[in-house]
Amino acid sequence: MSAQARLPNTGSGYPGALTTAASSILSSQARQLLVVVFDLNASAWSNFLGEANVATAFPRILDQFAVFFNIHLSLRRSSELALIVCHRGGARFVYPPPKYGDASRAGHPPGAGESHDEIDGRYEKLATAQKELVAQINELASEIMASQAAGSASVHQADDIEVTKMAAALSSALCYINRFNRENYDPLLPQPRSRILIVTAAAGAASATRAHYIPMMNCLASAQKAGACVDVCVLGAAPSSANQAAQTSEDGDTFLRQLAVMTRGIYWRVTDSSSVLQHLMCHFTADADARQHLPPPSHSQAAVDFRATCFCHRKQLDIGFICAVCLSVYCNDSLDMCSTCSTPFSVAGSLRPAPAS
Amino acid sequence: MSASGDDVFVDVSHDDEGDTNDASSSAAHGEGGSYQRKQAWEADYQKTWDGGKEKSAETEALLKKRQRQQALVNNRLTRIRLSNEEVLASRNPIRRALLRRVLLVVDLSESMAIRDAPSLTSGASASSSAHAGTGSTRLGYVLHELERFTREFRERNPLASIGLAVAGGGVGGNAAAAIAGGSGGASAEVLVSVGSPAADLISSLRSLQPSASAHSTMAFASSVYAPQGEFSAEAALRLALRELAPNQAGVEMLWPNGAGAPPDAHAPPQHRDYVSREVLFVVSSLSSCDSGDVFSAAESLRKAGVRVSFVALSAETRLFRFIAEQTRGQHSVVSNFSAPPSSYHGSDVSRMYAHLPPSLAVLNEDEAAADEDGDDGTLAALLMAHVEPPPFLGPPAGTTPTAPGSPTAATSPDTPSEQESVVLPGRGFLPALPLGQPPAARSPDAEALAAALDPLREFVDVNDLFGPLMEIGFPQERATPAGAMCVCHQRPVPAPAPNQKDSVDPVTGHNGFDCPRCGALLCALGAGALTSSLAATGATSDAGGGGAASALGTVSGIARCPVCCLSLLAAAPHLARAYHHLFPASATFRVTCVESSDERLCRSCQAPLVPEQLARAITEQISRASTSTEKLLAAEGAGGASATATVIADDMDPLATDENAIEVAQCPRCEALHCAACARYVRSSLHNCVGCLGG
Repeated sequence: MSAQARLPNTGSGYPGALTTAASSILSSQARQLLVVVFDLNASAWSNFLGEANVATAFPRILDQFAVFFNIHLSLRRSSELALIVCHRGGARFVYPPPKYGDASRAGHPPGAGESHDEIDGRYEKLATAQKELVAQINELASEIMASQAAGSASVHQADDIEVTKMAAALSSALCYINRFNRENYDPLLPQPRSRILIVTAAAGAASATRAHYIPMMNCLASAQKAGACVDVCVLGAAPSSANQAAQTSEDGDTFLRQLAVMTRGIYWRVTDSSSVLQHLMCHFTADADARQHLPPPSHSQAAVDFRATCFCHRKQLDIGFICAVCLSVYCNDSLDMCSTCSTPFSVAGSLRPAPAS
Repeated sequence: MSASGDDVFVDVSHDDEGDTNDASSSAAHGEGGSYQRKQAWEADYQKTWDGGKEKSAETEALLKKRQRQQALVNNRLTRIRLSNEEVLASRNPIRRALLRRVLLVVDLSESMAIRDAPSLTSGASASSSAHAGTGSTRLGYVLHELERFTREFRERNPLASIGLAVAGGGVGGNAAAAIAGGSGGASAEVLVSVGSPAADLISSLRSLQPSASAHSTMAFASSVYAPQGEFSAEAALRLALRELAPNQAGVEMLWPNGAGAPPDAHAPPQHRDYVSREVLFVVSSLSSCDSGDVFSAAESLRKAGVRVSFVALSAETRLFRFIAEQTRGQHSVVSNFSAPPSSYHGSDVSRMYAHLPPSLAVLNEDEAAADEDGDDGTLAALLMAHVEPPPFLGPPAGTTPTAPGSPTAATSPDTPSEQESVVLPGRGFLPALPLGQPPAARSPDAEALAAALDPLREFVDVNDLFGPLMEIGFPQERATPAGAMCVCHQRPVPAPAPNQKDSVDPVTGHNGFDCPRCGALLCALGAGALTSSLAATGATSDAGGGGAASALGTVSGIARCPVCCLSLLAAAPHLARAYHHLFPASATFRVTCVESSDERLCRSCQAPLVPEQLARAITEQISRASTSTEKLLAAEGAGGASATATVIADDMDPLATDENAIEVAQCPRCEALHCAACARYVRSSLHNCVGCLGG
């Protein structure tokens, strides 16, 4: 009871009362959690790297990411990392390894002592992270590639197989952030700063489709509320204008842009597979505090499409008609009833021509 | 009454509290010396709601056990019902009134100055706060909780607008915004009109807050209004009607100034009908001091379709309950007044699931200690019940011309459960139409409906039947040339400073918007200048210009083009933020008790579901058993780690198995198991089930 009464006041009031200098010291002690959502959609990667090169180029990209992860972990002692891999079959936690994911894992990932010979005097956090990450992703990737190769011969419906379970992975990431904040709650320290980095090679609709629109938007609202910014790193060239015109509708890319902009994250597109690390270091190493003092990347925040998509034809709308009951968006007002909440409009539709007589 | 009778009375009063008042009762009983204790009239006055926090260990254990059993029973019952109920629920979508206009009315009568609320600053314990002088005033406490409520409300209702009014003896300084009530100067005044930026509301709530340092009644001198005089429900109700539905029939006579038309007279009628108008009173007074007839005021509100809800601090009052029932509102009484004010820290969403079944409340010991303990009946919990949008009941009965005795009368308060069916104006009920037809094709049902309604065509005003489709534009942001003037302010559109680009609101802070219909250039959606023309649709621009103070830092709400009156929305994701009310993926989470499971980890966050000690104990127990059959038995008996039974079978006795049961939440659709904390997070904030999404 007394603890319950005490916590809120110390938690919210104390840091605010400090001077700027002191609070900046404190904020440097705040835990920085980076949750990486790594999209392993096989077809997208093979599009980006070229069918022939995937086997050789993908591990090289992974190495660049491993360096980036190590950079993040070594920037400060309070940095933490989590990695969730998603593909069209689901989402999976890779790091921290689930088996260690209990009470003892607050500060240092245990299990580092398992294999001292491999660590070789390196900072154990880095060594474990790299070992776990690269091994797991490689394993997963080869699994996926294999299944994709097996499946692509028989089933070649591009629409169906392209869907990555991005929304599930994002939800997992947010739940993990929530748990992290809870477990590392310290009234004397500021709240842990968390951010999410989405890495995807799926340039267009593959990363998020309309089926996942509402879950993605739920994630957006929840991330905003948790104060977590969502960075998006897209590998691959932007869809050409002709291509974009063809898929005016649900552009998964639009969702990701919206996600990044509305959570004050960074949306960045990397076109060259050899310079991934450079881009990662330039744009995604700075945490939310540091970004206040940095100019935002120039082309990233340009003109995000915030228009709504109609529920009936999946068109981007300038002017839409919205059901007042359930907020479904339609592109015309000649419907019988709302397809979502079945509120009838039909009466109006059938009666409107009548007054002429 | 004899002395012994009094003794009995004292004892009973303590027993009634269910051992919640151990300290005082043991003092009263003494150790055998019964004559040492005070008589009932000598003892300090004990408020029955004060003892809620101090439960003895046994009581707490007992309560927990009972709740756990209840969860088990519920689980058994719900699992049986799941099969058909879930299917129905998925087919019969929820209808909620997402466009809301809510007016908060705070009692500013002298009873709000009573110092019996828990202290806001030091978190004084419940027992001490009962005595005058230690706690804060009721007003301070109420304002503190209302501020929280406002933030939560704004966040979860992106298309709603909220205002603030006060009613009491000392209000009414601004005559244009006030309505005078009964004797003693009891009157009501709107401080923040509905549709104003959320920042205004919060600053207004803070300005009412008496200064915390001073402990005398002079503390109120610094604030706008001090709580004094009487409360007038009638004045407040008439004020609310004027604020929320000024165009309703019969309101003209309540319009004392007669100055011009009511503000939303030009609003299209179809929008008005789909806005839920609500008044939420926070009352401490036990009486109402009115100059006119309070019942006729309540009746006019009922006709206008305004829901009136009360949260009473003192006790239930017949008048308030009557008004609430008549207008389809809720009446609730704070029963656990002594609970300390809710916390603000971090993204902890502790108090938002106050409306959940109590079985969720004791899931996790440390969590329970942190936030859920005895949460029922606190002011915060009762206020949070109003955050969720109310069910959509169709347009208010009073807005359409209906013959007396027509079926529309069915929307009267006697039938509060119209959620299943649609109320059409002037027509009474129509059964909810089945879902699933493609919207473009006219369904046979709709044909039949149209045919059935055809003879009625000439009796009905077409405008009233105009469907509930709102036309909304989604303007795209574009960089404007230097010096371009905006239509809304007739000012050059300000360009953002390059280094501030990140701190400016990403949606509306810079550049201009073109109205997609008329092409007018607007500098920012949701700016203050637009607000006045918006009050009509009920979904107005909040947080305009004050994005930093709003809960999310982004502008939401609908603006309106000043040239062509098209409603404008800055970003579609704001619409999407309201969708979770309608597609509650997680609302179906149920607490289940799992003996053990193959899944040792929470599907959402990978936290271990089985507490470590328990898991270790079980494994030890199993390993200690020598023979294989013993091992099997041990595993079964302990609900062991190797046992494969996941969820307790329906026919198991919950009383026999609750020892090692672990409480987790299970999604009934995908059967994924989640830890209790994740279940709460999903319910309160995320609204996604990882398992259902395929994760």
